[in-house]
Amino acid sequence: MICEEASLLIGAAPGETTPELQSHLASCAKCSALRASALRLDERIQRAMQLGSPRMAPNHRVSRRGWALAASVLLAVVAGLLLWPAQSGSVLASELLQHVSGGQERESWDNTEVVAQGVLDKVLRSAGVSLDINSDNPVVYAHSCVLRGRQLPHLVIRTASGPVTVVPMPGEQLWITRDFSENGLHGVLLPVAGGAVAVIGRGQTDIKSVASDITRRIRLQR
Amino acid sequence: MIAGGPETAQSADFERQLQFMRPQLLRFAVWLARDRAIADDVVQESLLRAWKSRAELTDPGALRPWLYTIVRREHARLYERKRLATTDVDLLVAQESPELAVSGDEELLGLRRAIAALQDEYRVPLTMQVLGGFSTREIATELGLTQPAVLTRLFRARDKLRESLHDL
Repeated sequence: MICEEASLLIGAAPGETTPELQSHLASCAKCSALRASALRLDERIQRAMQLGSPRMAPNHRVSRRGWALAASVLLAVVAGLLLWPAQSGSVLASELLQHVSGGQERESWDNTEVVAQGVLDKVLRSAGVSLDINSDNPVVYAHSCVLRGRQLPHLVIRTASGPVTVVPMPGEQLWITRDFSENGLHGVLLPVAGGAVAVIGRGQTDIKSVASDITRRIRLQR
Repeated sequence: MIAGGPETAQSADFERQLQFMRPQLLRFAVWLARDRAIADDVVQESLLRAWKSRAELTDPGALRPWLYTIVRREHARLYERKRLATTDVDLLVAQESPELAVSGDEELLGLRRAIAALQDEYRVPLTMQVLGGFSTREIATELGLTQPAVLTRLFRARDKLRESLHDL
């Protein structure tokens, strides 16, 4: 192997070796130094690509320029969130928003009376869902709706920040938490054991705390 | 949870493995797509596809490369569908996507932006190699290229990244 071949291999795949390359490196100080440098670069590339899932790793040292960049990124994120509905393209989210904002379902948020336990149990049981009661956030609407081609519970929960729709979807395979929003409504799709749950609110409604509470209290059967 | 036999247990185990792999796949997809929303879509569709095709995975030890391949193909499919939109925002995403820009030290930020700014022909094999652990031979097979072509692309990719570090 000649240096030209070795440098291509080293520059393309520093971590890969062949017997020929090993043999060349043993006798060529220049290519050995090149490989050491390439491995150092690869460590940096590896580190750069480890974004820290789903968000980035914590800060270590942030320069003034870094903060300025972070501020501009924040603005970009806010702008991105405002434009999200056009980009997220989630069919499931669209179906849910359409359902929640359409027809009589729209009025479900005006309900204030707590749904009788028997009615709630019936709606939940028919879909294989169980929910531990939280008296601070009572269910004020419970109806079996046809969604995704099957009967699913459509619940509205009264919270301090406003009414929130909850749709448990047993068997729905969702792998990632998805935020979505459209026409003043905003929601989140959450993967849970046995399926997924959609939580939808409007305006300033705090759906995140409801979502967090619901995932602790709900159980779905596939 | 519904009780079941060995098949149910196998499915549950497979689902756990998919969940375990999800963050890695998401990271891979973010670098392929350079857009978090698209990456989310890609991973969601990929895992769904993997779940439906789980019977095709005969060697459990091959799960990782199998999933990475599904993600890459799903991204290619999605990118084909969204080509017009993503081409227009490529540069913007490279500069402003929060996944690429939120903190770390300045050199790391510069490197992330440089990786994101690489053309697909360089960034895709690099991502497969660095995050997916694919060998140059495997990348060549996956991308339908010759191994020398893959070596050249990877060499140029790293060369561009090295240059970007000098510019910082």
